[in-house]
Amino acid sequence: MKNINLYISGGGGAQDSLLLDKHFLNKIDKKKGVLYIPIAMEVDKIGFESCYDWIIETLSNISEGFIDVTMWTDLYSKTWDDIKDFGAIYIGGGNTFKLLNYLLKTGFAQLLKKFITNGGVVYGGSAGAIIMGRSINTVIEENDKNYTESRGLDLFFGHSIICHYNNEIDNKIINYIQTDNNKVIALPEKTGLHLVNSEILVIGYEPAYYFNLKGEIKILRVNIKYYYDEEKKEICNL
Amino acid sequence: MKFSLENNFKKQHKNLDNYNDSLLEFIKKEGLSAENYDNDTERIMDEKFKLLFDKRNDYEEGFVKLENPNYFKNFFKEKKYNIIKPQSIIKKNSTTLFTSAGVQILDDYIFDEKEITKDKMYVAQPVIRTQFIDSIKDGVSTSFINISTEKMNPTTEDHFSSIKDWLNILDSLGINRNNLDIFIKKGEPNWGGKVFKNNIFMFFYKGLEIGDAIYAYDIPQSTRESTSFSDIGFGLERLRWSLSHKNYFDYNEDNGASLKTLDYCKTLALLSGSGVRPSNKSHGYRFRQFSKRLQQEFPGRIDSTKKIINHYYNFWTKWTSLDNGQEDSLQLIEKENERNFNRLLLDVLSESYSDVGIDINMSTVQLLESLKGTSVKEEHLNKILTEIYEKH
Repeated sequence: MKNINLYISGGGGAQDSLLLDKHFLNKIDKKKGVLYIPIAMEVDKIGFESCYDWIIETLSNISEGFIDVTMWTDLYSKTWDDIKDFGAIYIGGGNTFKLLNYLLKTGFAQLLKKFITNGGVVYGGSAGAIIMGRSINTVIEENDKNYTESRGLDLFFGHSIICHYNNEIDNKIINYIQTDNNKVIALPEKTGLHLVNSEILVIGYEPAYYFNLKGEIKILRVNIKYYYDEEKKEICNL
Repeated sequence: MKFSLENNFKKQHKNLDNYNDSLLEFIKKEGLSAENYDNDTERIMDEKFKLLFDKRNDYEEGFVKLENPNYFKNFFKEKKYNIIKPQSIIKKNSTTLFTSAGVQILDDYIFDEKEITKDKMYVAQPVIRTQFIDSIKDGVSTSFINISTEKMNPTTEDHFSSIKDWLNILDSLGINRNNLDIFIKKGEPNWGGKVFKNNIFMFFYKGLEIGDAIYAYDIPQSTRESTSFSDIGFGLERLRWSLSHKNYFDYNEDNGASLKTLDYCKTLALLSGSGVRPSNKSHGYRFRQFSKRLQQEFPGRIDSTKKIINHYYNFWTKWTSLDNGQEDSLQLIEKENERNFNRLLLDVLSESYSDVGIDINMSTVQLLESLKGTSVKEEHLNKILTEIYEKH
């Protein structure tokens, strides 16, 4: 996959994702600003103010200069012209099913994919990360309103993503693999991945984990680059 | 009556039984009609707005009443509401950086679990909602006066009695209840990690949402039983706009300023007047952000923006006391505007010249003088300045 420049984080707090966030900010053209999408959150108007304050605090605390953050809570009628000039798009966490289904319903999912495949930098946190995988059924318990869509944007070579990982959910992941027949990348809260074309770099304080179709677990170590081998159909060391 | 109740919902809470019974009784008694809010509501109200809002009658008497902060205050005082002084828009250690709703006068009760008062309260609260910074249009602004009544642990009778008070004052302004579209919905907000439930009355007038009445309950507390509140609020500017064809932003001089320009100036006046200082972080970030947006929208027009800012500073002081005097507030805004205009100009120049890394923290006049010592040709500079002004 060419031109992909994608960050996904495991869903921890500001301190947990500090290394990933700094890496992200260093890569973007800050003059173009960041577009923040908080709509995975189940909040009211006051809640969205709080979300906006949060993202600004998160990014401005680690940015040397001023970084303009725009927040959208209504994605209807958005066009390519509206988003193409942003330096990056940041998709926040919350309910993964709500997020994906809203992105699809509004047509924004297509715009987002176009942004990504045109080299635009995208950061997905928690729910924002999970939608980048093949299927969001890794968190099927979040489907509290009978949402119909579960196919994600499929940007990780046919892998699904799960966040907030710890080894207590290994069985859950293996059950998912047996049901959906998709491999899984599992991110603990203190880590994330940077995907550039077909190369993956783990950035954070803990390793990430890769579950293959047999349910075998491979550790993806911090600061090590991996790549997706098309022939072997798996993530390998570079 | 067009709405329906969920049976299992009714079984859950005794106070909710009371709420639903009181709701039925209230709607019947007041001769109202209400519908469930659903996926089509916004679209239907949008269509109604396009059809009817421009045809609204001017009700000058109501408009004049709204210009006077004492009108609402006296009405609610007579109804035995405690008149609460508006809070500063700067919040510290709260769920939001700025006060974004009148209901936040209840923060001490909800979050700090302060001893609950039995009083019902009225406040005309200046608020900031930065989430609308990119959606500015008539009826949508980043700062406004949220006129609201609040009560902790209300009975359902208390809540509906307050709604009745509001219906009466809206009548007196010329917004008759028969012209209101009322929608009912439920929510489950999350305020700073506190998840609770609410029942909402939404009030639309000729397709424009003008306010809402919220009965919130099951608000978790750590030192006592869960609590509840009644929060009824309307936007002053939307009410005023509903009563007259005068423009929403209430600024009548024709100086080429767009609605965004007016909004940014209004919010900057409130920020600066409240003591916020521009910076790259925290509260000051918003000051800088609004100023930068203003320079993108209406670059460099010092005299025009000064007039607009002064106009809005006077507006705010009608409704609240500001910590920072008018002259100081204006100077701070001007300084920040010039700084950001300088940034805008240097960013354009840096595309053609490599020696324009000048400090932007000076007046624009000084910056232009400094540029004479660089490779920037005066003719080219004038062309760029003209382009910047004409683009906006």
